[in-house]
Amino acid sequence: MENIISIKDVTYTYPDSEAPAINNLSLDIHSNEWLSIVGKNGSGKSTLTKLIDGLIECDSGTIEIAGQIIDEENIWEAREKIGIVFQNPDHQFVGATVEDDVAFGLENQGVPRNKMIKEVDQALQMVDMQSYKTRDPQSLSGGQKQRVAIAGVLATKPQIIIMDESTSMLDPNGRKTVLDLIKRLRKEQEITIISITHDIEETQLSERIVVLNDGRVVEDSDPKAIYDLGPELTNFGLEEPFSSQVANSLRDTVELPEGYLNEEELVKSIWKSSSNM
Amino acid sequence: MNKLILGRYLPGDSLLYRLDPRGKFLITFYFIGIVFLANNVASYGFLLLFVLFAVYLSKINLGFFLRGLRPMFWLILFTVVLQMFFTPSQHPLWSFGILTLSKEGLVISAYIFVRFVLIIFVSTLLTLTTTPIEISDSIESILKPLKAIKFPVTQVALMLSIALRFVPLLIDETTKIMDAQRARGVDFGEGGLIKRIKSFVPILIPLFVSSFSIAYDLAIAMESRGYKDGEGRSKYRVLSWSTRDTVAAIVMLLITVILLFIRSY
Repeated sequence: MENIISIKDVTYTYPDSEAPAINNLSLDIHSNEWLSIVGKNGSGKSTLTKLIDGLIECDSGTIEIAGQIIDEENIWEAREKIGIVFQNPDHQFVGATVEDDVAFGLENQGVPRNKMIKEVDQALQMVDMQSYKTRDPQSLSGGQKQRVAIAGVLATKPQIIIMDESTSMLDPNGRKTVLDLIKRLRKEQEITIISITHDIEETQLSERIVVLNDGRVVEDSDPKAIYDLGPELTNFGLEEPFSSQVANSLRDTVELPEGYLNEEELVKSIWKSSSNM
Repeated sequence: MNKLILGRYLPGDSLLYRLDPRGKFLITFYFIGIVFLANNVASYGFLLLFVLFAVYLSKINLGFFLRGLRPMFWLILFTVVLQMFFTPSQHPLWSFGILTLSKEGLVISAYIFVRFVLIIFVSTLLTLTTTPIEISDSIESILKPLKAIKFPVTQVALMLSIALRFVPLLIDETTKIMDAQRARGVDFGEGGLIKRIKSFVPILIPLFVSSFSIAYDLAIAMESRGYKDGEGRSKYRVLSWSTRDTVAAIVMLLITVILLFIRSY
């Protein structure tokens, strides 16, 4: 599979700290995959996002985006390929109205106005917010604001979308609408999603999980293998999936296969074991 | 608190809403200027009629305009009373020490009162029918010539629009901090003036700190969306000057001519 982002031996230390936030980290991210990056607070997740987008510069190592090593010269080009949705919906809403905010990225690229109008409409349609076009941010819920933020990112047609804990400040309903939207986008177009998250449900949707600890990659595999780690997950700032928790408490009384089971598999196994009795 | 600052714009639709905000902005200031040309009953009456007609055109309830007078009530009262009793006159109706009440004084104070009403009504008309962002756009457009002397007009306009955008957020933030401090036992309503002012320190400092963190987040978000320095950007919102705006400007000129005529009549 082709790599869209290739991080090689990157180290970064914040100016006012001694320990590196990212420590000799290498990671390849494939085109069109949905990757989750998890880890405790301070494990370097958000620093990694900023490095990828060139918002901070790595001390050593290289980051390659879509075949090009980023440096000061081409950083703005690279940024056009990446869209980031941040954590706090209020702190990333630039425009006075929904449509103004979606247009912000296009304005920055100097897109002509008549093209911009079309693209703003399209982007709002994709996130199902076109009826809120002229509303001001104060009248929207958190989930709606994040959807507008996603529309703003989609309008510039990036190849990569980074969700930097974008669902962590939302209520369950808002979180669901945002995750459903990402799922749908993945079906409709070719796009790489990087979720930086604590949310187990979000990781379940992704194809690959990378666990960071102290600025290093400590685990890198598909969700099932990660969930197989069981209680160890809490060390990475993740909860065990609900189905694992149920399975673990049932294991004493019910015979269940080893390892992680998703909800469906769990239900099936329980059915089988009861019929054995 | 929300109402105080942002309750000014009243969503609606009428001729005055559809006028170009730049035109409205300039006309409002122009009108405030020509109010001072009025010098007799007829000219004040004429301007008052004009403003009432504009209020009628806006299709906004007169009550909103009267409410606009309320915060200025003491200033108006003070000025009017001052004019009423301190206008020197040959034929006082009543006098006591330095206080004199005369026909001239009464007339002048009535003029002053009408002048206040006119100015407050037209500026309320502007803010009720124009969104803050339209006002900020008009300021950008009006200041555009300053680009020639390297004044960063577009950046200032973006700053202004972001400031407007974040007012409600900062108000929310203030309410949150006040609640948090109340929960810790701070009492904002009690004590003398000094004590009350002091009790605002525990609001201002956290508010200051959180504004900085919001600014930092926003700067990162803007940069990630490709904001460089305001140059080479295209504009999504455009203002368009149409025939009705030209008509409005001509009407203002006619008003001035009529006013000059009545004045010297």
